[in-house]
Amino acid sequence: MKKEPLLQAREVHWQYEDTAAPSLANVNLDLYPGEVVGVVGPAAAGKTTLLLTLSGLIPANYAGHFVGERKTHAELGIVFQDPETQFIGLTVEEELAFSLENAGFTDTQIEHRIGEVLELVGLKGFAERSPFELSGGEKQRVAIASALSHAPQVLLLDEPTSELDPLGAREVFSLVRRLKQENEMTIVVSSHATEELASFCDRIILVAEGRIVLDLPVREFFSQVDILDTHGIFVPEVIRLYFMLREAGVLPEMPDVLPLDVEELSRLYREAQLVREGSW
Amino acid sequence: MSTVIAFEDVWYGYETETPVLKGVSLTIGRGEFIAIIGGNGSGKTTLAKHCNGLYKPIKGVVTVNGEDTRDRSVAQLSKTVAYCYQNPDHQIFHQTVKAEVSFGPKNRGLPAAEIEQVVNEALAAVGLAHMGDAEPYFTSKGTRQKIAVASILAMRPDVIVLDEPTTGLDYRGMQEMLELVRRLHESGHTIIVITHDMRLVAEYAQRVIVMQQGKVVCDGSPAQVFAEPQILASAQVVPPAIYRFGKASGLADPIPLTYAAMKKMLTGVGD
Ligand SMILES: Nc1ncnc2c1ncn2[C@@H]1O[C@H](COP(=O)(O)OP(=O)(O)OP(=O)(O)O)[C@@H](O)[C@H]1O
Ligand SMILES: Nc1ncnc2c1ncn2[C@@H]1O[C@H](COP(=O)(O)OP(=O)(O)O)[C@@H](O)[C@H]1O
Ligand SMILES: [Mg+2]
Ligand SMILES: [Mg+2]
Repeated sequence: MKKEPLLQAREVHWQYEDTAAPSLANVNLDLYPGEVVGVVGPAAAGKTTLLLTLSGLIPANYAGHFVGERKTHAELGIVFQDPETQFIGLTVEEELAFSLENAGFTDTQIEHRIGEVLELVGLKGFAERSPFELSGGEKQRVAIASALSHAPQVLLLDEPTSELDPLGAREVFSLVRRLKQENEMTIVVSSHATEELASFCDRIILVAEGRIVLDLPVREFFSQVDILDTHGIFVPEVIRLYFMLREAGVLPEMPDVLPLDVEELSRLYREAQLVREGSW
Repeated sequence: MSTVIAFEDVWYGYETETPVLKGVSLTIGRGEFIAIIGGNGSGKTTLAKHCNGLYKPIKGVVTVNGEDTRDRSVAQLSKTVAYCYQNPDHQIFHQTVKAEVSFGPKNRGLPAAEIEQVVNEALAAVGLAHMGDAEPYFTSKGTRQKIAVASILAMRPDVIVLDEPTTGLDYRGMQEMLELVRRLHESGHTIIVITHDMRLVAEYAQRVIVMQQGKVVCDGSPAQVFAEPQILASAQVVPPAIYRFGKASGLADPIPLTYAAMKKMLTGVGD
């Protein structure tokens, strides 16, 4: 039996003030507890606008025209696309303390939490540093730590790993999966890093011109290569390689399960090689 | 190959007590296409800003065409080396795209007709010839990234240093930027790209420099560098998916680094 949705959007339309066209149209979405949902789409498709709408910041803090309904009873956290513009603290510690104070934590809890989340994002020893005088990736890590610190039920992440080093990006995605498993957190993450999304998401949404074009479980999503190509979405090389090798007869037609990462594709490839050698 | 930029035992630190560059030595040859990779905070941006004199070493020497950067201003060096910021918004200040791109040449005191020409050429090179009157602030990240590149092209530098030029761009924007960089390289520019995108490294770079905690820990061709799993892991780098697939599947060396090369190897058919 399916759980109750944590967050719902029904027939949402949104148009920013003084713009020619709506940035979201006909948006319907249900988010369930313990889901990791990816959001992909070309530039200006409406990914950020969708996340702001799910968070409630649209329409609360933005001028424009809102139609439809968005319902939630969950606590939310959000990491903005450009974290630097949001920093207000003089130190990393202060930056994190603000959001914890607002969430009603005591001073001792705050100190403890700050140590914990800084370690989680690989910034141990950065508490006294100015958030403005950090490398690009370090700034992004501070923003992620800040959103994680008060352990919201729903976490909205807008391109959170764009400036992270490759291992750091994977660590953030693994962390997301852990939060889902351990705390039944629901995480919505927009990103152009489709390779990571394929490995770590349960479900993916394609947004184009303000509409939800696809909303599918991850394997079904990445099977829609033609639609993804049409919208200029990068289909991970592992997946392209899989379809190409099947077509070339290097991989068999069956079993018909799309591999999502290097390990899955490599297993299929090695099995096919064994079968080939055995049949000599 | 003649040397354009040389680092000799370069040390640098911000106000904090720990040094950020710890004895970097390397030479950059004219016409190279180099990628600099490594973990967040490893010193890539700090290194890059030494190339055009934005930062001067605390100890050691950086030379550009044989001249110590400490004896030259950023404006003087800009004729040879241009640095494009990691965040284009740290570099864009003007009301129109044209004003932004004209700033450097104007500052250099070029005559109006020549300014007009270099600016038009620079905008055409990045595909923004039609957008001279647009307001940079209201354009997309990909466009702002291109405006930033046009601004440095208008200075006609030999060496172009691009700090994460594809970050935040969608796939099409990224491909456009990379094709632009490829054209600049083909037309004779020396290219240094800082990036976290290993597909970009595999497909475009001739040479890769790996930074870790302020030091160069590896310097070689993409094939050489990706064959060093321990060094890469300690530098927070993961090789491209194609290469990892080849490794995991027990393919014979040299393992292809790009999709096209892998396709050729496994099917015998090129693109
Ligand atoms: N303005 C600054 N003031 C003080 N320290 C700084 C400043 N800028 C960077 N640093 C520190 O210097 C070190 C190197 O930073 P740098 O920006 O060169 O890293 P990077 O390799 O470019 O990282 P990223 O991949 O995150 O962009 C980091 O530890 C960073 O915290
Ligand atoms: N604050 C704003 N005011 C007016 N228009 C905006 C604003 N933010 C975004 N838009 C417009 O809304 C559309 C969707 O933008 P956005 O949600 O930022 O897309 P994405 O995150 O997918 O790149 C674009 O056409 C963009 O220009
Ligand atoms: Mg966005
Ligand atoms: Mg940097």
